[in-house]
Amino acid sequence: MPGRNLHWGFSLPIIIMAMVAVALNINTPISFSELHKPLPDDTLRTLANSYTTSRVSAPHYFKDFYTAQTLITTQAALDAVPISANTLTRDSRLEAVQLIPQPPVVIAETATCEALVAQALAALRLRDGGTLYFLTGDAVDMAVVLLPLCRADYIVLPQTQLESLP
Amino acid sequence: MIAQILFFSLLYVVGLLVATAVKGRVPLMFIAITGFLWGSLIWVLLVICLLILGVPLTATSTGLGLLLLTGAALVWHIRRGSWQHIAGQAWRGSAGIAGLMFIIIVVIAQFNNSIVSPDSTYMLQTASQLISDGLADHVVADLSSRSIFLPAMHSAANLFGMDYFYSLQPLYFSIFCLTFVYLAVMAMAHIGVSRPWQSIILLTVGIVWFSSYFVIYQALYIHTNFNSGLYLLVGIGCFWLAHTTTQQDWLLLGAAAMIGFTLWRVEAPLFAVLFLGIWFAGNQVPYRSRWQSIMVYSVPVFIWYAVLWLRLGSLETVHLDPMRVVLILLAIAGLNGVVFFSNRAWLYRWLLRFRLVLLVAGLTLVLLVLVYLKGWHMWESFLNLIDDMLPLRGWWWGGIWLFAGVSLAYLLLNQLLRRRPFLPLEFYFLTTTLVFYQMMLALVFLRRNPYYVGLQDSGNRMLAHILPLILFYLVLKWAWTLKQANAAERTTSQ
Repeated sequence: MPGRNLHWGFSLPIIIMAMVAVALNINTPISFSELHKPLPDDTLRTLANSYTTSRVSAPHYFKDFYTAQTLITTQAALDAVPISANTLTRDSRLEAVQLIPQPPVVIAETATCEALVAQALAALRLRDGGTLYFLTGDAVDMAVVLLPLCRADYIVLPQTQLESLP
Repeated sequence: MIAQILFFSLLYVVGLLVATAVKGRVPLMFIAITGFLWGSLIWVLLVICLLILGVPLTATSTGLGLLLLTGAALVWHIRRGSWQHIAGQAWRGSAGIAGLMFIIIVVIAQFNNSIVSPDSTYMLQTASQLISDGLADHVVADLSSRSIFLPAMHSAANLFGMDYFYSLQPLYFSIFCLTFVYLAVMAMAHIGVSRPWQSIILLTVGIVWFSSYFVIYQALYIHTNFNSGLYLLVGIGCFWLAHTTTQQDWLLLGAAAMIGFTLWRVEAPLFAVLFLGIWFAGNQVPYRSRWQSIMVYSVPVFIWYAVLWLRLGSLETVHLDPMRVVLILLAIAGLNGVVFFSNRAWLYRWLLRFRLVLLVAGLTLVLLVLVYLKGWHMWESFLNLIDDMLPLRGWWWGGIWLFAGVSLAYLLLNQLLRRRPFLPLEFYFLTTTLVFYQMMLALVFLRRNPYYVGLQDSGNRMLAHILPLILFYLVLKWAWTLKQANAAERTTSQ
């Protein structure tokens, strides 16, 4: 067939590049199997049921759960659940977790705070064998969504956030 | 589970009926693959209409609305005798695809592997609020932050007593895969590449696609970005086919897909206006088709944003405020003005034929000003976007961007060195991609923080808008280059 060898010769670099890309794709710090863990049907039910009629401020909403759940500081969570080096590499910003001082934890920058919460929560969920959630957003918003979203036994908050609760 | 299957099947059928009524000479197979996209778009437009009219979203009101639309489409078909026209086509293959779609809908409803983030939960909250509160102030505020498509789709779940449709995202992902393959095969066949090579090209791109963690993640992640990219791919893919196959009926479907793209994200209208300007302000397709299509796009989008503008007032919002909405409305009006006057020879000669260069140059100038105003912020965002795309600091995309970038560079270099002709409308593709990145960078100026390296960074997630289109362009470019190589060899041997 005219041009067949020419086509192969020409396309080979692209095909080799594709193989390299596949090798890079597979070489991830997190297993694809994480994606296969099913999410319970009612994971978001609490949220939907309690948030239907009006928008409420985050602290007020949080207060509803305040007595029902256990609140611990970030440091306590980290003490309770050692975080593996593997999970730390997930996001370069999470390296900040390693630099956590002794409590009380004072976190000034939102992004770092968010990373702390996400990291600690991820560790808790990993320990329990549950689904790993990747979380983002403003720290206070995190508090709004964490409880109903994950039905967590623990909610991890920086000390400053805890003190600001009503 | 049954509710999801029934609702998705209903939307698929409605989408099929309406799209076949307007499809013209677009192949039936394409409608059979994308039926759910049109069905879900119709649902969202119906929700918008009911909300604007102040009609509560109930099973009765929405059911009646769908019934009316279905009836209208059926009447249209009967009066036009379109069944005979459809029967004359390869309807067996399309019926097979429709059957496959139903199987997909049923199979994916068996599993709930959803991935959620706070953004997902906010949008699902808004979905339930659409049912309970209609267009109340807090709902309008939420919609101005995260747009309406996803909440409108999941609002139907509340009507069935569910919180959300867990199989919606996998369904969009499945449709994406089928649509990509279909559009790519159509385009490669038009270019004139042999079937085996079509398969090799698709297989190569496919293995990279399906082995990327963040790609598979999109199949489960309840969010807007990937779906937005799906509609964008359909839109631009249709535009390319409309321009190169002389079947302008593709334009209408492309414009409808751009409505979908626009309603998925609040910043999307600005991107859409620029993309439509690139593809519609030329003179490759008849003026009448261009004008009709741009109206199809503009009317619903303009009305929705006008309503947002009227309602936003002094509401506390995150992303859109009245001034920004006015800018969006002006941009849509401006686009209409440009397309309306695009048949003036002098305007084309002196301005519109340079629009690609002017657009890129104008946005470059804007970016330079923004860099001057917020240097570190913009530079940090740029570097972090690069890191997000490459498997150096960020690993989530794997090597897919590297593959796309290096392969395209190789193909372009080969073409330039051998002085081969460009792919038809190649500069449209290149400009669309470039403008996307420029706009992405320009938008970060408005953010409090720069884009960061992370799975959930909105900049990183927005890359999902353009990746399908870049891969589509890669497929076309690869096929085109092979075809050119063949032609060159034939010339040499003669």
